[in-house]
Amino acid sequence: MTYSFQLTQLKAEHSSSVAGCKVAFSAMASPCEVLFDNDDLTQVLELGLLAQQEAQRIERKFSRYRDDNLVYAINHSQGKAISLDEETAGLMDFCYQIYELSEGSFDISSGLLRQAWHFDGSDNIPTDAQVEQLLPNIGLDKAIWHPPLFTLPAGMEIDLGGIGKEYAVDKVFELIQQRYSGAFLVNFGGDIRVHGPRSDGSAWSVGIEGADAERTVKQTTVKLLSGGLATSGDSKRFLLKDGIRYSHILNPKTGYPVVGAPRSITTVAATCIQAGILSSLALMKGNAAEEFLHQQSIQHWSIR
Amino acid sequence: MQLTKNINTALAVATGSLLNISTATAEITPEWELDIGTLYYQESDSRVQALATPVINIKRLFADESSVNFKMTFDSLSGASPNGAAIANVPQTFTSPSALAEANAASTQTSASGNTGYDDYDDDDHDDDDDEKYISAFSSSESEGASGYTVPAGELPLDESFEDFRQSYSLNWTQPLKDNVTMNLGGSLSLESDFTSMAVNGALAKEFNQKNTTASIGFNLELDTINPHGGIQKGLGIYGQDSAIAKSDNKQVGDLVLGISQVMNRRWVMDMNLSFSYANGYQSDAYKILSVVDRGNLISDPNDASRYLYLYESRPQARLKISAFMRHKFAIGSDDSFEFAHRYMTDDWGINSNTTDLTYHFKVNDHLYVEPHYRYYNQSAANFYTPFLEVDTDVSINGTEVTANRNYASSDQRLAAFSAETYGLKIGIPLDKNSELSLRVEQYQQQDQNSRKEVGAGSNLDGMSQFSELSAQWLQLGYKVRW
Amino acid sequence: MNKILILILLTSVTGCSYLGVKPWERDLLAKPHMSLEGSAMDGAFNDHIYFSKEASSGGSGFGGGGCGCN
Repeated sequence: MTYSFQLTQLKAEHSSSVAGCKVAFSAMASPCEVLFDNDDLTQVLELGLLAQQEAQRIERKFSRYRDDNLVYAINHSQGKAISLDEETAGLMDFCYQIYELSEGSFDISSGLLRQAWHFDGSDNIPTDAQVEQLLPNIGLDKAIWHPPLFTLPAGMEIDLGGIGKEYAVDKVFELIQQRYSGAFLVNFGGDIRVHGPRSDGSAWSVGIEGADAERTVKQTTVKLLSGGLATSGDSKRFLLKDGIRYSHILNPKTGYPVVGAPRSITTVAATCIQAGILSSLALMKGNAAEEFLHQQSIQHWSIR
Repeated sequence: MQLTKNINTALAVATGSLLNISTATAEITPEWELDIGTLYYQESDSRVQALATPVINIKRLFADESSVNFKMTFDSLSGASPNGAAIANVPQTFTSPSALAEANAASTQTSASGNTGYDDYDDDDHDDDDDEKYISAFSSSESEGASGYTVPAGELPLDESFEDFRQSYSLNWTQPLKDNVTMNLGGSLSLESDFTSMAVNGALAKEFNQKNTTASIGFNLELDTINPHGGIQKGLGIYGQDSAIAKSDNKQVGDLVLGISQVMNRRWVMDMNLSFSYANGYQSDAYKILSVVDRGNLISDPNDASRYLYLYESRPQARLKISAFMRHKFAIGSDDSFEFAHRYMTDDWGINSNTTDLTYHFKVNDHLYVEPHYRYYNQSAANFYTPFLEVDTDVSINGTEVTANRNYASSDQRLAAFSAETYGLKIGIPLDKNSELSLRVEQYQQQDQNSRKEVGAGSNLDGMSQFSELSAQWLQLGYKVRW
Repeated sequence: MNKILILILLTSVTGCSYLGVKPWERDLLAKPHMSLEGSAMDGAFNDHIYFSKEASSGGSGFGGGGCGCN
């Protein structure tokens, strides 16, 4: 795997003066960038490399696709207890909390369902039997979490992909904030966290996709002074059979897709993780997604 | 759906702790903890006692969560303690025990050890020097000298001369074992000029239910040696006759404690325990006496008409105590707490007691907290407690023969019936994350709850108090630091 | 008082799983002012004073070494 790194000086929109710098690299299968309201290239370079290192560290540590990390060890533990380090233990605590808060809808052990569901736009929906045979190995309540020991029964697996990117955004944000007091924006494939306001007093402008009342998709600009923004859902992954559209949002308790989920939800919250969890939880509510976010007093945009 | 409403707040809390845990903060894992304290104590009502007690506690923590704790205490008492005789409307004269000891030592001293100033290694000289030091430092007046002291009429008889210096040391080792079991082992030593105590203790504790429940069992075994100035007297023997039956005696104490602590919910934690204590051996106070009284009048010692008759106290050789203790602590807001504790004790000496403790911890800011505190205590009297002995009922006198008609008697107020209230305030000043100064003041007041023993009208004891309600104050300064 | 004592004793001895908190709910309980033992020094001084003035002793555990005052 090659890691490339780009440092660019940006030009101001309405004048020819320099308006900050941008660092770009690739991580977690997404284009990642950090925008700085700063002209000091040396400092930006240092911070940008730090951001890349941290994003890659988190990817290496928590990726499901590697065979040399803790997640691999857990998924191949055959029911033996594994001792988690402090960071992973913190994430496990968090995942359990969300599991309970969402009454089981957010479940890091539900990745196993991809063995039955392949969302390629075709009409290959699995049989009931295929889904049911997976259910006994799904459910975080079947694992034993007795800090620092985590015991995952054989046949089960965990996948931190649901919060990995948002967690990386927040961690990189913290790292930069400890060393840099100016404004900056972290954007890992659409999961965003900003620190503002910018040097001219303005907020960061973030473009998102939302749908208006007539269900027309349009670009909206959100102005963020601080906080996180995350988008869940991907309209390109679905199955279509007999006129019924099966979205790729699966309910871990039934093994079947959530009915009536929007194609995309974007939320704004204090941190990127919060925004990410809220948008994921909203999707799980299917038809009630927008109402759920409304009850949480969360700013949101949805596309159906 | 109720859960929906709270999700965002709960989520914010969860995220907060997630991002905080993982961030590398400069939070040290302490290796050493040092706790220094000193206590100033005094009693009102002319029983002035100043007690300055420096205590040093050092703890070393290790990476495997085991620790070793060493504690040193130095008590120096000065002042007076009731000798057990009753208040009468006539003056009373007593001999001080260490004066008796000195009188004994002087009579065996050889002339060769006359050069006291020169030869420090002569044991006899050393003892005399010590006794003289104590008497002159702690006697209220030089004129009392070494032969005794006189208590004016109407005053509580107090003996001022023999309280002394105590040093105590203890070492304790805590070691976590596997399966959530922790072991504790320790030993301690306490030394005074007339008392030595050695003890070993051990405990095992196990955590269950994701560390929400802890069950524990502990023991303490103690061996005490009492070698009072003037020797061990015969229980209920006549005072002032210089008739010690032994130089020293001892007692053994065994304690067993069973405990449980339980986290009830996010804001409430409690613990309770049941303890058994069995003591066997010499339990009397070697210096305490009781007045012998005839319908309220002091009577002369039939063997020496120049003094009144007093008998040494006598307590049973065995004592079994059972205590039940319970404590609840509640988190109030995010920085305060309230604690309620209660202990009930009963023993086979007839004493039952209740102790209730209430404490509120209030954080003012990052550098100041206050803890007001209230304690209520009451106890019933020991079944052999009596403020004085009655002729004929308790003591028979035939010519020069004095015989006690009971096995045990003590007028020690610590075994009487009383209630007590303590009001206190602690002020804590955290200097930084790892150190704190503290100041604690407490006020203690006892209240007599004994039934009055009848005395004849116009007698020596008529109108005299039979229980002197103790009132005391103490102030504690503390400093603790860890690194 | 006795009934409450027994009830609390029973519920804690049976170790009901609905009593207690999850590891992440220990935020308040972890704070020093919520520790059950409190300041060991305060407790030791108090115990020593009350031991020399009253007939009861201990209860919340046992300290090291007796003294010749009770």
